[in-house]
Amino acid sequence: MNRPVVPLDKPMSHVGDEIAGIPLDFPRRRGWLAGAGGTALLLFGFFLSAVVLFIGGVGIWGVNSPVFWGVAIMNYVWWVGIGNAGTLISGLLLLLDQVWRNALNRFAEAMAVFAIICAGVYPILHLGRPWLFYWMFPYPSEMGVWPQFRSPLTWDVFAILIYLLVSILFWYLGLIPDLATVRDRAKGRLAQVFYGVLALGWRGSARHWLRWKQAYHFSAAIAVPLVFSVHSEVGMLFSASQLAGWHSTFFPPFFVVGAAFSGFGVVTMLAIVIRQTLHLEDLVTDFHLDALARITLGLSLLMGYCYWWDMFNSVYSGDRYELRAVHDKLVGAYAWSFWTTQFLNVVVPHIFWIRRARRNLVVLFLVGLAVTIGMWFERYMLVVTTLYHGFLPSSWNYYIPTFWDWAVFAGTIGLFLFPYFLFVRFLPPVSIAEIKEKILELQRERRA
Amino acid sequence: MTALLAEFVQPDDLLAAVRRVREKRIPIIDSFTPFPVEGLDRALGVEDQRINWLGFAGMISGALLGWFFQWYANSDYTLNVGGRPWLAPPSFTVLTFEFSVLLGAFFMFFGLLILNRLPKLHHPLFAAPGFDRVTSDRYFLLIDAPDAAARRFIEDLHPASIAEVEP
Repeated sequence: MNRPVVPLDKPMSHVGDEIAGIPLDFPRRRGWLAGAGGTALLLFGFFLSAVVLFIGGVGIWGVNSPVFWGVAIMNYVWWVGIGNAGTLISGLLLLLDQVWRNALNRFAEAMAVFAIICAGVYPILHLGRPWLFYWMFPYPSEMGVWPQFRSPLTWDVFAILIYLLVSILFWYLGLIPDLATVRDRAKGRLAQVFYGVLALGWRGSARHWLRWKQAYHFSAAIAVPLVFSVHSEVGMLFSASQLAGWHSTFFPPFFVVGAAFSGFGVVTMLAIVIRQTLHLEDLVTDFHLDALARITLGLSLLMGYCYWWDMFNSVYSGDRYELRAVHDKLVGAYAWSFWTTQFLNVVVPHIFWIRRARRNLVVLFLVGLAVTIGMWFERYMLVVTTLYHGFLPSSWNYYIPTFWDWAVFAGTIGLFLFPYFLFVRFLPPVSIAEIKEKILELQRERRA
Repeated sequence: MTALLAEFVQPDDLLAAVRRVREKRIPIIDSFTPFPVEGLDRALGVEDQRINWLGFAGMISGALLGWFFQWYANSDYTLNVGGRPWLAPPSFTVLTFEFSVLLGAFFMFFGLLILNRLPKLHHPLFAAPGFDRVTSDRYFLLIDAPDAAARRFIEDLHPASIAEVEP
């Protein structure tokens, strides 16, 4: 493990040349246009299906009594999870002083910002009368009504909004010095002005750096517990209800683990694609991919523990409805969602016990994809298995998503990927200043 | 007022220069580097904890705001849910914490901009020759040097270049 995770044998300007060169002279213009164009189509599909939804109402989705939380809420939880993990990877690994995190943090943070936007639109789309969404905010209304602060549904509004604002600030804070690097290398007037304005006139003063570092570390230190609180709160949306299969104090930590797990899957895929297409092999090294694979394996073990502990909890309670929820998970009408989850999340990542698999890009990408899809099936399992079997036979019903459920879902993938393409094209996708800081640190260690 | 901008190629040369200039009691205005150089603020004798305190103040105000807002809203509109108390500290905890994080982050971010006097899109230093490499691989020291002796002293430190600037 003693191989350098930052390029030590090249001049200090190399990192800046490599990263700032990406927004200034993008190496893959055609590929980028194709990708951005394709995702722009998806984004257009999102707006189209949202308009159809607003005209037709939520009835065009498959949701109906008793399954009122369909694909919309699954996707909401799925996107929040992906977003939360972005902040965890960046903030937690910064606090733990993990050198390898510096090659990954910027695009993990971008992932967090865009994923949380996708998550945030879902509850609004899912409202019966979405144009009244502002009723969720506390304002002195003529009706004399305030939001109910004892309900996790109200916490959710604030949690998502605050999380979005804080992760944008954290992301931008880290970007400022690197935007200055791009500004100083820009040749064209337009680029100079664009990056100059975004960099706010950063000039690398020692006093500025001192305060910047404090602010950056402090932000990370408060963003990490924020992630835990936001995703715990998402878990409480479920556990605060009285339904069998959901009503458990175990849900908040269970959801936090799931969030981190799905996010590592997505970050692994993004890291591989960005590294290969933009030729960042000397910054995102085999060591980085190996670290991602090891963490994915560890989280997969934790995830398996969570699934089976959750069911043990239900069985141990002896409650007949809890027992039926376990029965439904294992052999019920939606058992396929449970077993798909088990296979993709608990079985597949075990391939990472093999060293060669951890270094193989194709295997890494496929496992990242498996985890991402598996976490989606997990939310399907959690939402539908509990809801389709109510306490009385009158509230038993099957749930089948419709075309428009899938259309909105595909649309949010565009809502995530299109801004991501813009980010990779126009902003420095890897942190320049932080990698240089680590280069100096390791050079000094080597000399000592 | 004239100031001297000395350019160094290695961060550790800048650190050595800072130490010698301070021993000589030549006033240093500031130092500019592409990344936070470990040990530079100690060498410069710069100490500033205001950002941490601002963040702390933001968190305290956010917690107070969050708590009292929930308290006010629930007391102004007391909804009876199965006889449970409307003043419910366990339920208020989550948002109290989240508001404290929100204001903590805001205080810190905007405090950083204000303390650093940013945004300041134009600064005379940007006109100094070679200063555009401050975000790449050059390390600068800005000294208040009114006399020729001080200038000779800086020259003896062998910087890559020396320029006179109006800071």
